[in-house]
Amino acid sequence: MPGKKTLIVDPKVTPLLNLTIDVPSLNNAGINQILEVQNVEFKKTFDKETTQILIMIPPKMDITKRVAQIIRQHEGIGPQRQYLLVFWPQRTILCKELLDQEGVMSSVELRDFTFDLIPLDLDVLSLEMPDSFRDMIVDYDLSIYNYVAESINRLQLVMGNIPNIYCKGEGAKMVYDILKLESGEINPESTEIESLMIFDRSLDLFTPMLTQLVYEGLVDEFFNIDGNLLKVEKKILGKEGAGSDEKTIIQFSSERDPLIYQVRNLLLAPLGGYLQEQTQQQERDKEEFQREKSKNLNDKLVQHAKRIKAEQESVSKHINISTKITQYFRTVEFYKRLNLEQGIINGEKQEKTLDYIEALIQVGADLNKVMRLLCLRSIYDGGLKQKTYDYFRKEIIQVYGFKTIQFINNLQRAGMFVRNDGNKSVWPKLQEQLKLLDVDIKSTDPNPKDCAYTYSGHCPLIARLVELIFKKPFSWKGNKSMQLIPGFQYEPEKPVKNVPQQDGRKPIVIIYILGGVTFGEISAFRLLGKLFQKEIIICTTNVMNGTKFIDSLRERI
Amino acid sequence: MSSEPSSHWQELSKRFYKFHHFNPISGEQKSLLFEGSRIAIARWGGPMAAMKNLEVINLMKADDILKDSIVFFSNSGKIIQKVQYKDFERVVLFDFLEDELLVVIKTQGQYYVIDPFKGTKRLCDLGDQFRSDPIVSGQVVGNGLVIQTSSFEFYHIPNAQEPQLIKMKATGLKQQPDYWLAIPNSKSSSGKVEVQITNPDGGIIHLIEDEKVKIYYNRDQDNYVQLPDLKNIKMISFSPSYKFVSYLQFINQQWTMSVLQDDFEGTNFYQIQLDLKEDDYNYEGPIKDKSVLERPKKMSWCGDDCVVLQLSQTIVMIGPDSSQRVKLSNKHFAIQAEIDGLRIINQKKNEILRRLPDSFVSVFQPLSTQPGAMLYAAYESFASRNPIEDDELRSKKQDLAQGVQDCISAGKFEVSPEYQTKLLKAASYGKTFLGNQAIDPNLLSETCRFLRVVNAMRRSGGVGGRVLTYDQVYQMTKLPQLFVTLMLRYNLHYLAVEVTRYLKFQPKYRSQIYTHWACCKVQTQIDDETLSQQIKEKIKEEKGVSFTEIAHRAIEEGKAQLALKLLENEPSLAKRIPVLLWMASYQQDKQGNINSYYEKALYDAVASRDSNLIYLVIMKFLKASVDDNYIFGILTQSPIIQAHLITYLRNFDDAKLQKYFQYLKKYDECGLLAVTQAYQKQNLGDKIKVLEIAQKFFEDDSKDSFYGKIVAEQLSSLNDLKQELDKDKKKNNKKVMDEKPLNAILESFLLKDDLKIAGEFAKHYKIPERRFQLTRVKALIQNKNYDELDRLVNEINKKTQFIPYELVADLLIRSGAEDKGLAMIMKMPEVEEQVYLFMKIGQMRYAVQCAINNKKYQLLKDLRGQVQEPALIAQIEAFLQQSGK
Repeated sequence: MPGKKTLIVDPKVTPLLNLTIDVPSLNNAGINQILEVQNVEFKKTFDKETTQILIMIPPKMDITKRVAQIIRQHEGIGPQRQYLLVFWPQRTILCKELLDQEGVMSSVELRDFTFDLIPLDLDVLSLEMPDSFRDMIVDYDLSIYNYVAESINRLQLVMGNIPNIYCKGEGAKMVYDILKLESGEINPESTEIESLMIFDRSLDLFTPMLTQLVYEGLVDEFFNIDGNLLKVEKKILGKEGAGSDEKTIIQFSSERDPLIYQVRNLLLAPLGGYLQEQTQQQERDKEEFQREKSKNLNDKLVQHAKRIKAEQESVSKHINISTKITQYFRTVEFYKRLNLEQGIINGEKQEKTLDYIEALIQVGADLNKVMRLLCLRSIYDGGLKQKTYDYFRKEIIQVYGFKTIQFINNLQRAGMFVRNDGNKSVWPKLQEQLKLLDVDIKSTDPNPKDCAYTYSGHCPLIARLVELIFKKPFSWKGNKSMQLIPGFQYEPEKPVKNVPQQDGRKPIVIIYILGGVTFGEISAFRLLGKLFQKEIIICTTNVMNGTKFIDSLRERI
Repeated sequence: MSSEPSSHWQELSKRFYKFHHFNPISGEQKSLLFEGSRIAIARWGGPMAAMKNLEVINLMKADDILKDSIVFFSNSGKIIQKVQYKDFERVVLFDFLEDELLVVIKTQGQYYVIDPFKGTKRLCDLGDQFRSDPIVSGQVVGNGLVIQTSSFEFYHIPNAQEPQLIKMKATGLKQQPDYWLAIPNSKSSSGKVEVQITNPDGGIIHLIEDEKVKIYYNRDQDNYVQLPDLKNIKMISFSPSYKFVSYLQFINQQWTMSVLQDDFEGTNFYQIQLDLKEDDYNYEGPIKDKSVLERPKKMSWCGDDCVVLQLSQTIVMIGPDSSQRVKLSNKHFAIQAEIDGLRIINQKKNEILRRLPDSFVSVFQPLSTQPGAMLYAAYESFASRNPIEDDELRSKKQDLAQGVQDCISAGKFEVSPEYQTKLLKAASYGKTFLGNQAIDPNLLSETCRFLRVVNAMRRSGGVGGRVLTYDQVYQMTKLPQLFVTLMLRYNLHYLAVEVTRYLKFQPKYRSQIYTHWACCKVQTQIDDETLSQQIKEKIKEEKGVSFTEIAHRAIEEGKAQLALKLLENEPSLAKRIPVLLWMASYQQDKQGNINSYYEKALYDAVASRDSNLIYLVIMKFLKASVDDNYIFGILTQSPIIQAHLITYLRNFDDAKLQKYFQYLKKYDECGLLAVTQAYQKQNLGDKIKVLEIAQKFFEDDSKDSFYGKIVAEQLSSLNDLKQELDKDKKKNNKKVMDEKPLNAILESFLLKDDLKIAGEFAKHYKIPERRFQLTRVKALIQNKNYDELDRLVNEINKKTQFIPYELVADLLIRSGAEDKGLAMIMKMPEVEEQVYLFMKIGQMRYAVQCAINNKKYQLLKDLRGQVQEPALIAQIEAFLQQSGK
């Protein structure tokens, strides 16, 4: 289409565009301006030459409403324009109804576009829908289950039907039901993928509340990784001088940076050691290169030099980032946070933790971070006593404002911050029976053998469930502890064993987490892959951390 | 008795043609006057339709079969359907669509689409514009139409079933052209519908839908110099394959026929002069113009190499270098081109004129010595148990193969089963003496497979036997949809299933046939239970049958219960739900009980796990019914529906949502909803009002008493704020106060060091002592009042640690006062924790100092392992030594 185009997107779409397309391609398509829906001014008209307005948003009612207002406002001002409204991943009947009621249905052309599962790394695929958990639990929207089922079906279309499917959790049941409904497609049985395991976040709301201690997780906790894009200030990377406050984007993917493959799952202490080793190795490489160079400079050597340079840049980048993380580590806040977390997982008395959390609320510390701790406590204990619960709610509302009443309500609905109804909490039992607590974890161990290393002694529940499947002979049904975990449970009667690939490739296992997965958990799955000789692919609706997770449940008034 | 294959041959330009007789006419057709009637013959051996020709005045007997009606005749001349037709408006088109529905177009833009089997007559209207600009002529193209109006505009109607017009490019015509002819898009080079129009000034106007118009003259142009001059064209006709076009011209009082390739680019053509004078023409009449008087009734093709002109009693066959006049036995007749010949129907006969293939000629030409003839003769004598000597033929394998080949081809061509059988048996006989190499071993069986279809169609293909030839059936295998449609037009379900099996059509046609069958079945008068059983039984093994379509039909037949039963079999929920909703609205129009449909649709929607479907049902249900309580009752049955209803209402109908929460007795939700609503209000007064409503809900019957209390508190604070604002307004003070969290207000007092007011405020809102003190600490840090801070912390924590030192330290360090922060840590009561914290935050010097001060030897030993700074190590060493540890 000729003519100048303006692209209006929702902030949730921006990272997807960043992950999938670069600016020159957008310019080539004639897009000369990108605006965010929230920033479009009603009064100001677009420039005269802009004849086409492309809008890309998720099918959320508030956003759709705003788009309708924008279109209404701009219609009749300036030249005749075409409006193309693209819903990601697809329009809903409610959005259509809304557009209809707002009277703009005839002015826009509607399209659907799905990015599908975006590869964030060689073994991580994500739908990148950061609100997935909220949609499912707070808003009770079933669309996510459909998107997930569709993505699985597309996988099966390419790879063949997956012989073994395991499900745990009510959300997993939804997806399983849809998959069964649509199983009309006759694909050949997959020979590469051995199993698909679907879990939903509600199974384990505990783990994300803890601080992840693997490198990739820490980077996410402190710098925020969007998909696989990391925005950091240049000065952190050791670039001083003018513009060092500016941010630069790093792609955090082992495909781009092979070093990441080595370091992403490491704890901070072994990471330091490893990076130091690398630096020394590079120095040796460099020396050798210098020697070689003086003898004979050829193409191979030049390539070699380039590689050394790239490696060196990468190593120094990670040294800088990890140094910055160490600085964060050395704060009272972080010390106390880890201290409290450890207290909770080690069964320390509720009062002691709550006392400090209360003080944190009372000085108005970052609410998302405070709630992470409070939810951790509440989940572990199966809720707070009525009086304590009311007291905390009141404190929060008085300190952070009345609107947080909605936030608290959302957390309550999600079962993360609740009143104890006299029932005994299952967490301590689960912890014991599934050995979720491993006190032998050493933060300096470069070669951990238990997934618990990812959360300094706490093993992510889902990782344990996966491990149960890998251990022979397997049956969830026969395992008593499984009854402690509520929600639908499905496992194949007789799992089909895949014949090992002739080329020695390991059987592929897809772990699909609905409602978000943390890097800590991802690292745990990777360790399982290593221990049990499986090629593990992690699929998810979104990659997140506790703060992002809590934030997605915030009040939206 | 079939006619002898060797008889009645017509020779034209060294080729042979023959009339093949299909069926004897035994019905009412015997008395049909072709002369005064308009006749339409459906292609592919279909039925014939006739109506009175309104433009010819003729005396009509009272018992005339065409009186007030359009009559459809079967291939044996029996009436299959009679449709009442009393209109007197001029009919501009009377012809069959490709899928065998008859269209009758009238001048004013209205037309009928008539089903020859069911006799249903549907009226379509092309619009008012044709009242003032009437239609002059029309033509069928595929299943669509092309019409021309009195102002010489051309329109294309792509689908006659839906009167949608596409106006074609303007032609610039000033007077009525002598003739025009449309080319269907499947045959045109542009892929669009094209029209060739004779230009009154000479040449051909070539019209491509709404794309372009061009005139071809073929004169004074170098390229076309050898082609005939295209002028005074009176008629145009395309050969069945659309490769050739014939123009009948009247030049210098002489009829001339020019045949060209259809694209105006080929250079091959032939031209032949014709005498079209007929014996009984009255040249003394009022019309003297020979071009009018002698103008043939119709120009058509017989195959791709013979043009046929229909005169009043004869046909003129025109080949590349000669023409031949054939007088027909009965002067009442009509012709219709088929792809491989020309159908000729008269009062007594139903025939087809076709060119004889070479194989047929070699077998049946009298005195033929071709291998085919030899083999046929050998077989005949063998069959009559009087074998002749055929060793010679058998020994020449190549000749024998040719003979077998010819007999098979001739068998394909022959329409009489008697000779067909003989020819195939002869082929089979010859084949026994041949190895597999000499001839395709499958040829004979394949031919028989096709012939079975051909004969089955001729025997029981509807319309008294559909008169198809082998070639036509072969062509139709490329048009399976049309083939199936034609059979379904006459409800020939069994035949259709068999044909699809024999001709190996795709499975989708099979499901289409079953769906059609079931739709027919639905209309029969059998009770619902049996009917649904029967249909289910028949269809259960078939994939892809559309139960929704069948259910649709059942509803139209007024069988709602049957429809519901049938729908249970539809596997696709996404398909089922819209039908249920449609059924509900359909029934609603008829005042029926609709709720059961909605309930069913809801149930299905939930099963589909598709939010969109659930919303769809909820939306329709809410719009359809007025009784909220009833709807709420239904919609509350499942938590999923409930959640969707809430989401829907939240976005579209807050008032109803409030009602719904009350219905559910979820007063907390009511309250929370009101809170949300309150915070959407811009005006403080409104906000307070709505919040008061919220409070009412919470007070009513709340499960969580907390909400009532906290809202009351908020209301009190907002009311204070409002009072203050009102006061400010009076003072004309423009300072606008925003709503702030209570603690922020407290903090603002403390920042101003207004302890008295702060204290009152805290008391009023029951702010806990600890928060009050911590907020004070915060304010002091912000005001950098460290002395006071020190004093305060010491005082508060005199007895027990009421506020955590490390928290105060954290606040201090963050505010930039690191020293003060570290000093605060030193106040921590637990020395071990203190040392540990210093260590963790990298303050080794403090850690060491602290351990030394408190004489913690073990800690110091631990520290020695961690510390890297030499001076510190020395200090530790010194102290340990000093202490003798």
